[in-house]
Amino acid sequence: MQITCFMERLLLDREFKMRRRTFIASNLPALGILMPGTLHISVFKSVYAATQPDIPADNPDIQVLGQMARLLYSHPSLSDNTYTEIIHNLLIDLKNKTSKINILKNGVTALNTSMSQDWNDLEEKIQINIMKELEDTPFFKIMQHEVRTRLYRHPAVWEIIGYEGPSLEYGGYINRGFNDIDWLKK
Amino acid sequence: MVRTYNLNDDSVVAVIGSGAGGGTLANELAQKGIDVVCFEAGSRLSFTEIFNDPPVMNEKLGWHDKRYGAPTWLCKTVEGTTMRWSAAAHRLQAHEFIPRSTYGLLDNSSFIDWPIRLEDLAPYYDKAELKMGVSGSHSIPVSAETNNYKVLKEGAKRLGYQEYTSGHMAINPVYRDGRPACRQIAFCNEGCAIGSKWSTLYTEIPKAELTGRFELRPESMVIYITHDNSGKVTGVIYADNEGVLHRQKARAICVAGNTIETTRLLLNSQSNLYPDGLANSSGHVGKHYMRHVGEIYVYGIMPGPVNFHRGARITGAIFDQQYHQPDRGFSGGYIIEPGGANPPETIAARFNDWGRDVSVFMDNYSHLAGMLIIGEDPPQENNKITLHAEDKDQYGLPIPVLEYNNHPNNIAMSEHAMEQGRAIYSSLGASRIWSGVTAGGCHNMGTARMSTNRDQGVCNKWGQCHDISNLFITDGSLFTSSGAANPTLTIVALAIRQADYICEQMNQRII
Repeated sequence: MQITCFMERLLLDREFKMRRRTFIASNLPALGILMPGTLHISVFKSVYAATQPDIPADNPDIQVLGQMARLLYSHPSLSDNTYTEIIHNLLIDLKNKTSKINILKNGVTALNTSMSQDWNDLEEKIQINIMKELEDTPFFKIMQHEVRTRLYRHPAVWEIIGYEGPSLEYGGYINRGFNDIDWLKK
Repeated sequence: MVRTYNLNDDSVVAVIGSGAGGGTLANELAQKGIDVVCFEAGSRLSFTEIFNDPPVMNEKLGWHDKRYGAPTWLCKTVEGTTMRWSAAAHRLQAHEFIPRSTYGLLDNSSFIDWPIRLEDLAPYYDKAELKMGVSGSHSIPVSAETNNYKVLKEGAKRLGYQEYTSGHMAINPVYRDGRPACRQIAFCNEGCAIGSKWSTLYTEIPKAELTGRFELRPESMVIYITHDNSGKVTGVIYADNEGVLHRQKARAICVAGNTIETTRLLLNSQSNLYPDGLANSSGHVGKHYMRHVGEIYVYGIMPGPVNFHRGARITGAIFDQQYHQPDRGFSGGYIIEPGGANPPETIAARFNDWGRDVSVFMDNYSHLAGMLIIGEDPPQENNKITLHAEDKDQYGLPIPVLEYNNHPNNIAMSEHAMEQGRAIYSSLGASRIWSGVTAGGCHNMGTARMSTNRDQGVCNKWGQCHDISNLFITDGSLFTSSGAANPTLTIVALAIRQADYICEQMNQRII
């Protein structure tokens, strides 16, 4: 119980002003050792690209899967780079999981061989139709789950959709717009 | 100075589970001077281990042991699923205690009336609300209105709804009971990092420890309940965090492992005297498994920002549809709560689909309003929890199988509810609306139900097993019907009442 009271005083003693959302650790206030997660920056455990030399960025698999990722959950204002970055990181994470890598490789082959052209050269609506035909496959399910999870934890996506993330280290949202709605006409 | 009890001390009451039922009962008994040992399968987290990070917290506090069938969203941690709950605290209604008398026996349902009535539980609801600090009850202020609540209220008003409140939340609106007021941290389902939300971890458990009559044994998974030749239960066998088995003797045992584990423990505690498991001469253990209608979600892209991620996940409710109004085409009612205000990945997963139809909602995340709807779920004998014939867990015990299918009443109710929800957001000019029934699994009830007649249920009006007088059920598995309301307040009220009964029975040396 004492920890609770101390934390409450700690939070109330601070003035938490409105801040523009950033996801960089250095912008965090130093809240002292009792505050949970002082090193826990304002994002979930997202995966970031640090370019790995053994998975080249222009690998055709990444381009195909990147385009599939975009069609799974498309956000027009997101660059292609974000989607390929997600695939890049997925492949890094799967490096030692040969069975899953093979599923993805075979999936790319399936996409490329379903029509007479490479998948990346097809019109989007045809690409989507091909994806619909693969919906029940393990390949599709892995891609859907991985892309959705990684995309919606990505800071660039949070920025464009307006999700402001964790708030504990900022004292909650109580003074940062939790009840500021102004367009509801009575 | 924390009390510890000898394994051979058979004067203690063993409580299995430290959540809303077990944690509350254990504290209530300890306050009355009764010695209690509380067993919890999960570990004891501290505030410094709580982060605003759903994947990390799910890993730490979720129940991930293998189960077959319908999914569940429950916790393995000290405080049980009160770590994760959203703190919606509504009483059951009078008619929900007499569903058989009110609705009749629907085809393929196994409705019976509870052995108690609302009047019997009302004084305990009072105590539970004061214990938990339910906003808008007694002299406690209502909760602050979040943007999401304001949208829902305004839309509902336009449709002529009249019964809404931002209260009925077991989250401190002001400093109370040594715990701070809510700061809208908005990660309620990942553990309240400052303790505003009622959870047994930092309320019932420490209060019980202060009495000197209580020992909590975390990371202690009870796998078997022992009994003597007369049939009375005598103790529990549990595995510690290294898998070593121990046996604790007990004078009485109260099972509060949440519905799945309670059922499993009763069934697994078979013996020559009890070949079908404990308290199961009626054959009802595991049956009548209820999960509520829903959860139903409705999301609307509104004309302006809502930023619902900035507020508590659920705040308040709308009650106009909770009554039994059979001209709507179904029995029982449903409650509409502003909710679903989760981080983006949770919402995207909820849609269970892909493509622009989903990503357009995510693109408009800042303009989303959301509601969650739950309703009365008729008990059915074929909705049940049983033991898998072959597959066993790490202790060599059968894994549970959860069989559940929606009753036609659920389908009719869901359609009505989604239509109403869509109309609410339409009235405010939502440009797109999504509605759907999700898998749910955080409300689990009915598999050890209370009954007046011993051949229709597992326990009596005190939660005392018909077959075994010193064995009690203390979680949602004893619900005779689900009602529309979130179950936790009722679990707490029943636990407080059960503690009074156990104490009186022990004083008279009947138990």
